[in-house]
Amino acid sequence: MNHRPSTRSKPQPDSTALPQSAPPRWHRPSPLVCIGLVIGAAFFLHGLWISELTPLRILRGFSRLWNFLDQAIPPNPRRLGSVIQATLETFEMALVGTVFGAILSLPVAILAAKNTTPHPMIFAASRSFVTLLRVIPDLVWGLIFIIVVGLGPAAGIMALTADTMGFCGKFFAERIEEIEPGPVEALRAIGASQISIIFGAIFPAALPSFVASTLFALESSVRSAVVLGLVGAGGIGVELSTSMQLLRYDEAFMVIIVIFVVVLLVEQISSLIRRRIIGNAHG
Amino acid sequence: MLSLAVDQLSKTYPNGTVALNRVSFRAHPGEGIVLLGANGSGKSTLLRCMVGLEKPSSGSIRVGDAWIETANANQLRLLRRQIGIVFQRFNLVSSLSTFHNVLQGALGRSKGPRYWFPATAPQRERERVMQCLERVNLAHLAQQRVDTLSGGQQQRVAIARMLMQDPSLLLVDEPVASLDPKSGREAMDLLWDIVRERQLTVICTLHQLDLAKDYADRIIGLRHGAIQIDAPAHQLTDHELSWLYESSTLDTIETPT
Repeated sequence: MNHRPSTRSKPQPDSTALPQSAPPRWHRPSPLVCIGLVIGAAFFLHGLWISELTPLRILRGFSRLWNFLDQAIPPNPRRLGSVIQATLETFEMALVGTVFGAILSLPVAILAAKNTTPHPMIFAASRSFVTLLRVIPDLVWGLIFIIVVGLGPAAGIMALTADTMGFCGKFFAERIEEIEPGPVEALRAIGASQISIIFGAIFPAALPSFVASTLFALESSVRSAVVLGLVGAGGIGVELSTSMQLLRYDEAFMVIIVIFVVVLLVEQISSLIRRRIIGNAHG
Repeated sequence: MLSLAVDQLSKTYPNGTVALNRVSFRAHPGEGIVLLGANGSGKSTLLRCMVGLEKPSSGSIRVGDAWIETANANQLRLLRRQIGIVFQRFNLVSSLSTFHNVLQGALGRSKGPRYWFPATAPQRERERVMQCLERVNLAHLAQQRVDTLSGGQQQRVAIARMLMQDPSLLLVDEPVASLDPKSGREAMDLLWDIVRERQLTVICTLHQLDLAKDYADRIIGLRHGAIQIDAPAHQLTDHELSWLYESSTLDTIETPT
């Protein structure tokens, strides 16, 4: 803190109880903040430079976008049947991956919560595991599991399971750490085993939050599942990338519309359920 | 009926607070002891040490013929099964039904997953839950979520859970502190009826001198973590007891360094 006495301050009254000069209008930021700002600005400008994102390019891009839209409209429903089938597959991939991920997150979260972990080492290991699952993007998981099980929805499901565990494992563990200690202590005092305490007091208290987190994960999984298809992990993404590569923009647009409808539906229904659950938990 | 012997029990928290200072007493089977003391006098810490929820710094606690402070996890579970505890804040699992909460009293008896859910619990235990609820007059609310009940009703659910556990020694932590005076009296009456019926040894912490004198066989007074009074209830005068609650500005706080 550099506090420079103001030369313009009024003469001080004798009483020390009265406020002295007002705080300075401006503090010089610390050197660390200055360095951070300079580095951030440098990356930003370099990024702008390598992208060559000039107004002229953007303007020309608009005409290409027009070109795309011109060919895309009206959307071609010729392959609507198989598009809907592939969309359903995408949704089911997301659902199965999320359910597996959420179920597998339960034991991981118990190990990764400070108040339920059996040992600090296990706590650290399971937290790192969850972080690892989260820091690797879903698309990379998709590529890895395509190597493991080959092209198709199985790879997509495994990628989404890993992705969901990264998300739910963290949130479940945090929720478990917030649990009121009272009921847990009561069951411990009754002589209940640790596993009985988990099922008797911890899961019931955390369940609404678990379900809400899982629904969030499902929404994100549906979006991920679309993109996972682009790398060959099953679902609608395969259709979209095929149409795009064959320059069948009208079919591609149809696919985009179906994706839009499905993702929107899932989000709406999920947020409806979440509101009901959270409302119940409070009422 | 279970005997209890506390010997030279001390508890100092890591921050230096002395909660218990060489506390010794013995509870005879079937005896009703009330622990009196102001906030922070160490009553709750004493109860928590007795079920092994907290580890004493030194001293020993013997329940029946087992020592709490040296018991391993399994022995501790067996001991805890015999010690019922009714908490000031009830400590029910609020998102579960009354029935489910009372059923949890049986969790100490079983290791299997059947007791985790009302749907899978053995018929015999399900019937016992209803008997326990009838004993506290709450059978009609068995299916209700427990957080929709009033404080007095929740306290009775906690008592029913204790009945389900079927302990030999009962610890009660300020059973009336969260209740209005009328529900408080009702809760005490119910608790003491049950204690006498089942001839339980009971140790109950209280704030209220009148309640203590009405219910206790024996009163133990704690002040700054040490026993100051230990006598049959009828021998004690109000004056002696109210001293426990007087402000300690005159006498220096008895924290040995």
